[in-house]
Amino acid sequence: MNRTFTSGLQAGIPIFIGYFPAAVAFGLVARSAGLLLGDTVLFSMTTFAGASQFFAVNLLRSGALIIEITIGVLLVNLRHVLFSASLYQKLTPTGNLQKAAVAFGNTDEVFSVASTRSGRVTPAFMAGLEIPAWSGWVSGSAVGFMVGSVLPPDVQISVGITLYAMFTTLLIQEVKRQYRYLGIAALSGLINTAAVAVLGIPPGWGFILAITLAGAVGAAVLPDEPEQAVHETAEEHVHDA
Amino acid sequence: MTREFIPLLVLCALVTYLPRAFPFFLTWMKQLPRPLRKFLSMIPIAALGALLFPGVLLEFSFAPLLGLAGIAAAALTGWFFGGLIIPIGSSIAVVYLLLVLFL
Repeated sequence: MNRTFTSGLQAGIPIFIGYFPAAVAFGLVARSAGLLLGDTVLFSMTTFAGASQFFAVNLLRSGALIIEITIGVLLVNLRHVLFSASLYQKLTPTGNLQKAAVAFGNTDEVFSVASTRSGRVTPAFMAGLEIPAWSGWVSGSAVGFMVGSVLPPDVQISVGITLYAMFTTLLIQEVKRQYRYLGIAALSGLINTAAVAVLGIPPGWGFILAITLAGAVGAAVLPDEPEQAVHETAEEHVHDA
Repeated sequence: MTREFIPLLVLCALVTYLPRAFPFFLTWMKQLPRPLRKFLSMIPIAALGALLFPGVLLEFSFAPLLGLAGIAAAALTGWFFGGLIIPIGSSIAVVYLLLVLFL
């Protein structure tokens, strides 16, 4: 049951449902950052990563340089090395082209669904899983962008909270799992605030400094959770979707 | 905007795709040392904190409490109901109500 394209599609529908509203939020934010409809949709089609895209657009709006945004996005994405290393072990032996394609759609949610299936998964199953996820993300981005233009001004201001509400919700899911994560997130937020608002470091570098320092403190201070961290995070994400 | 946006678009796509693709092709990436794995697993949590602050205060620089009320609403509803739609919806609603009633 982890072999056919159709069984992949069945498992992919919930991801579509989860991605669509998040992408609508992204479309709204992208529009408020001054991107065009084409930019927004192309961005979602090629990058296909929620956190990175929100982060990039947010930094763009605050006037960060391309190099700062790129390094920040790379750091946010490094966790995917762990996801892909794990998915690779689960994939039936396959050609390089298929591997390259499966890797493109290996988002947090896709990974978590694939990794909780019993037994191995085929490239066809992965395609069935990744296509609805990608479609939900791309179509939602377009819809969000277009909806943004018809909202009254008070609502448009209020919608500015969307991004932060989403980050808060994701963080709360992590904190429910391990209370001490709240301390790591708070430390990171403090460092970033001090760097940007007090020391006047450019926003992109402040972010890089904050997550590197707070991530290192977290790795040094929190107890070992061998291999569990990735897996449990994965399950949380399925729950989100 | 579109022309200036293209370099960023290409770079973001690259730095997103490469970490996803390398482990499928480079064997040494399949067994990273444990401290590094632990550090990498902390990054998303640290990133969320830095994405929230000071951004949420600057977003509503005319009334930073508005931003704090919004994320408090998302935290509470996220804790009790889970999912994304209810927390985001109630967060927007709280900010909108405060905006219309008090500002």
